[in-house]
Amino acid sequence: MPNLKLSGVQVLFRDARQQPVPVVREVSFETQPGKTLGIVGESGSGKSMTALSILGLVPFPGKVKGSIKYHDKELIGLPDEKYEKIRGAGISIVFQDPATALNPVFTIEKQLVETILAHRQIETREAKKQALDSLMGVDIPSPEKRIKDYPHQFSGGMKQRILIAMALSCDPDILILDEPTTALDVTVQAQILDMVERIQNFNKMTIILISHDLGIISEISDEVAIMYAGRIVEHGTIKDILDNAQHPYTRGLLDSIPKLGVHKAKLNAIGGFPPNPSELPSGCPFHPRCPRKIEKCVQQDPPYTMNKLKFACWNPGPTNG
Amino acid sequence: MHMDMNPNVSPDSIAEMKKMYGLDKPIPVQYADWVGRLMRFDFGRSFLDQRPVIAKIADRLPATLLLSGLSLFTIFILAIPLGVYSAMHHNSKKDRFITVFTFVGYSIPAFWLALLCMLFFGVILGWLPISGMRSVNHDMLGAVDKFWDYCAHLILPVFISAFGGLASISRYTRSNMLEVVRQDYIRTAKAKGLPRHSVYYLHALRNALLPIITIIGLALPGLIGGSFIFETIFSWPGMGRLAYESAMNFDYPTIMGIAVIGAMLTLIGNIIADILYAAVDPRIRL
Amino acid sequence: MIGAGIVIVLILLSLTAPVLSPYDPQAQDLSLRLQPPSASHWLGTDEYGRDVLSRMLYGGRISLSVGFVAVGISLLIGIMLGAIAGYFGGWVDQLIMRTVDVVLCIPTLFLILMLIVFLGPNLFNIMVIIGLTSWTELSRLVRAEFLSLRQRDYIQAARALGVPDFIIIFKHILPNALAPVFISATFGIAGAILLESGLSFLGLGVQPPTPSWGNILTTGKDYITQAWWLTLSPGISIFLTVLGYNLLGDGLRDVLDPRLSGGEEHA
Repeated sequence: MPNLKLSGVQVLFRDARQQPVPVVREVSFETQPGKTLGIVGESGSGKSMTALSILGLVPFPGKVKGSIKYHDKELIGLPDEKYEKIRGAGISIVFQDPATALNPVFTIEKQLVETILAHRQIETREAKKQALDSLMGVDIPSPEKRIKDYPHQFSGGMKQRILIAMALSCDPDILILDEPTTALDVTVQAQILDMVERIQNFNKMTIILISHDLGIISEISDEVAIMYAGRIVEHGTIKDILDNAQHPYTRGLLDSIPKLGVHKAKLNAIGGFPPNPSELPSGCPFHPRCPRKIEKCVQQDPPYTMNKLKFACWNPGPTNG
Repeated sequence: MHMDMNPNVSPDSIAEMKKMYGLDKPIPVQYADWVGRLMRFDFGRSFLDQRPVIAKIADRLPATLLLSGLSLFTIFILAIPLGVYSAMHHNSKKDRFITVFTFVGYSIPAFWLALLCMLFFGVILGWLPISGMRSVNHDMLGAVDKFWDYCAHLILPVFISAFGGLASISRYTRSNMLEVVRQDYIRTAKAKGLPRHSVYYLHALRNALLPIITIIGLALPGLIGGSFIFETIFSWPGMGRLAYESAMNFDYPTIMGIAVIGAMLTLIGNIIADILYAAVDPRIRL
Repeated sequence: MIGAGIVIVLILLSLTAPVLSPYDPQAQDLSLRLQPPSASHWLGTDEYGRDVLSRMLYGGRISLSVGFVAVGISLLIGIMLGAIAGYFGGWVDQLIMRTVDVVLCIPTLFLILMLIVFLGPNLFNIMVIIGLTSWTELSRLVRAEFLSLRQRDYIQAARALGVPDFIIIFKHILPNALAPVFISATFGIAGAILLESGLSFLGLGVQPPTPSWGNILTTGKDYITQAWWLTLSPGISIFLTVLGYNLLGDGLRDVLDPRLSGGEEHA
């Protein structure tokens, strides 16, 4: 039973000439309890906007179309008061930059407690106890003392743990992590991902991990979706993606991961830049950068091929050579 | 001194006068003396009635503090909700209406507005007294009536002197609010499922108010300086009106004293604003 | 832009005041005291039977010149001190900025009052005094711009090549720092006009019989129950003028400095 199901989700903005600009195009996927879905893409590929659309937080004047079902409940068009019940309690999100994501003028305790009180009909005293418990769950040293501190008194890694504690404080069944470790040191990155995985093993929540780094994604994901120019271009289990990627873009991402013990003169970066969503190239938006481009790619955007992998390419193949 | 021009003053009395005002000493010594006296709030005696300047100011200061304090209070009580409301309805008709109001607010000459209000509420409607601090029959009133008498006399001066600040502070609140709602922690607050009112009126407003505290300090010289215009118009017996009367009578020591006291009040205001800021922003420790 | 429209109309009106004025603004006619607006005197007459419209037009010239001259003076001082402080930094910067702090501390209006008493109230002194007391904001602004521009590569390159400081300041940095200065100066004109009319209203500015909107309003105050037109015309004129410059300044800010105006919100 999927707990979240996106079908044909689009996020549209308008440019200066009032022309619609699709930032997310035809995104569909499902998530299962206890599993992790990784979404990979370069900045501007629409992955963060997809996450925001799930929570109904797409900034004004963006419009969301399609269908987002949470336990068979349609979220698109849900009034704010009802959405508020789901945010934080059913679906939680942790954003990229922990330095700015906590309100600087309130203590950690206040920010944790207000989250709990927003979703649970309990006494403030009980909420404080739960807040403390949630901090213990994310390995904050001496939480009973630190809970009275303000955000600026914590390091970046600690702030991210606090934000995770806050996101988990009402036991959501889906946790979205939007580039959770990008702003942190590499050693802290690993600790945080380990911790999240440990919590998942315990409470069987779904994790949607968004990152530009396929390396990080491959460490904890069960499934991976690759996004390019607002669209999922390839989607499959982590094993299939790593061993058997069909889309040249996925191939390019895999080739650009540096491998330990393999010496190379230079990393295989994908040439060029991702396109601006208001000026998508004709046909397949990846064709200007694609090493396997054929004539058809310029004319028509490829539909999905359903295989062991789901992908969108006219000229798929296991190598870019 | 202008006495040099007057042929009727004997050289002896000029010398005596110079000695009395310390003008026979070298300039640097005169300057040092003067600074020293300022430090001790000794501004000399008024040319007008020979009373010590500091005593004249002390008589008038409470009335000015009352008027400025109430104006400041009025500004913040009205301007902040107005600015927040405007920001919450960003780019709507209501927001545009408030924007127009703020532009009118800081373009309208306050002394003219004062005239119109005096004419309308004082003369035509006869609702409010238009000058002074109390009525002629004040001493004969009971305690409660005395209080209401003060209140009635305060309404127009307070409203008029708050008017300009009202416009600019509400505008400032609006732009701060718009800036703050774009911050990441507001997105976090929404993502946690907090209700809309606590996202905006708790998380956003608290942060938007921080810089406004500093503005209190900056608004003070304007209010105190402006007091000379409004107190003159409303015959309010405060320091500003004293400044005006002294200016009209070339009473230099009094004007000097008022400027120094005004600067001091501004300094005190700034220090209070700094302390308040440190008290509400956990990132700053004194 | 409404602001620009108002400002242009006002400038044209005051430039052509001698041509447009139906009467000599000083000409008295005691048989026509305090006449309400009529076909021959569009805005009525004052307590000496002078034509109010003519006096308003000439008063507009005064307001305008006060605005421009005062802001000119404050621009000169503000840009010079701000540029020196921001460009050279160190003790020069400290000295200038601490001076600014001290000046800011004295309520401007008391400072102006003091200077008027010492120098005497007349048009020339008023312009100079307003200019002399309103440069602090500008100097801070210019200093901040210079501080950030000084760090740019092209300035560092020019310094490394031995271009004289004078030339760097005026040719390389100043033109890039002008947008906010220009905006601030537009608001400054509005402020100066408001200030002059206030002072003249209290009898501390332009002295009668020279007409100024402020001193026409003083007369209006004295005859407020008998001659409403004497209160209304100068009040509305001051209001519209100041509004015009404020709107113009706001419009300029949107055009020249988009990061200062409120952008989109995510709600």
